[in-house]
Amino acid sequence: MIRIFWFIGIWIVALAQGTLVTRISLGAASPDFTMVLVALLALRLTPAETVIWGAFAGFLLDLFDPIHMGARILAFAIAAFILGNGQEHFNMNRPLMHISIFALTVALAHGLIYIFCLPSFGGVWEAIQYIVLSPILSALLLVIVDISVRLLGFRSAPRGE
Amino acid sequence: MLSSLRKTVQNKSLPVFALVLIVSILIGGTSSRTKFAIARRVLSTTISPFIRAAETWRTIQDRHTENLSLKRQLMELTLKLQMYKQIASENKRLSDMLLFCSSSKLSYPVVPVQIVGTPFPGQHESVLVNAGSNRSIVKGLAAITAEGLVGKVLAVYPQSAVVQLISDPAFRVSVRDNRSRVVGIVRPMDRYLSVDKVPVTADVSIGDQLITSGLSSSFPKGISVGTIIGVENPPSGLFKRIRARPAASSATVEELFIVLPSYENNDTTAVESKK
Repeated sequence: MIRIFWFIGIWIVALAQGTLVTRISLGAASPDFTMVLVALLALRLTPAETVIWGAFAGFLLDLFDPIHMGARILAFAIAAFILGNGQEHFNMNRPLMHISIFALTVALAHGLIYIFCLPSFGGVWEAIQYIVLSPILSALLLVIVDISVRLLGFRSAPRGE
Repeated sequence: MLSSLRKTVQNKSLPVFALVLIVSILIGGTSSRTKFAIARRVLSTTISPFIRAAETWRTIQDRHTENLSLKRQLMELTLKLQMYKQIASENKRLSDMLLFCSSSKLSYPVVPVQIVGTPFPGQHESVLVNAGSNRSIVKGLAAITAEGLVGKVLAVYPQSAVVQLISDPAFRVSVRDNRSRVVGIVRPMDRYLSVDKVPVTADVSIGDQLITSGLSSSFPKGISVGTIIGVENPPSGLFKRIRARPAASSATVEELFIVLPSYENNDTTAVESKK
């Protein structure tokens, strides 16, 4: 049952990311809401499930950019794989560790997307915004969202639940 | 390191990831773009409310910014327009005054002055002008505009003077009918003038022009005072009831001339008649 909510959540967030966030100016760089959702999934699902959901989110975003189809599936799958397996190798309950790994993962995913979609992007400043500033903003957003989710009572479920 | 790898293999994420990797490469590498046309169509249908909402929001923002900017511009332009209107009005008045000064009508020296206020708050029957004894103005002199008589000097100070307007209930001036040469006394009555002391037998009719009689030493002869608009012969009494419209409106005047005695020629804009 809970997976239906995740499915709807991914749809909504991916649509918002592909439509509203690209149209509404949020400063120099905008946070990656979809990646934040994948990070939240990684805390609550198995790594294999996280990879599937991450790839699905990437697929939805790819539909907005059919010229570079597949780039975001790959980048999000890699990010989901790292975040999902990060639970096994790092102590993700330490907020600083969690945030740092998340920011680096988003930077890696954005770097991949940038490489695949190079003609779509502008110059160096746009690359810095997308690969450096956007992951930092996303990490800050993750902190807020994670705290909010915990305050609402949605704790990290045990693996495999 | 080995145990970590083992864990990764055990949780099945590696094969799933490998599968996803292959799928993504297949999607990106082949000409699969057209295969997702239906998916994209479904997506575009789904996202259209989002896009519309975003566009509406952005439009509202743009309109709000534009509205503020236009309001500011409108305010600036309104102020400028008011200023230009005032300048144009002032220009016209000054042109009229200049024309009046340079015309052949004047046979006496005048001092142009500007109304700067009222001598007492709330008092509108007298005005303060920006010239006084420094410009040879003395008490009792006539104040005129291009249209005609508007008042007389009531008090004089070194830099200013008080002019009693023709609308003041205490104002009196001796006038003459320009056609029949009949003499009378003008005093204000409501928004018009009343001409007193005109015998019932005198030849006065509607439309006659009233001019200063020149019987007073301070008022030169021939200044236009008004036009007769009503004549009545009362059944009993010696004098006619005559109403006249003032030649000049004292309510809207801003600049005027003080008529100096004819022997005073210093520092004036006197223009002698060409006659």
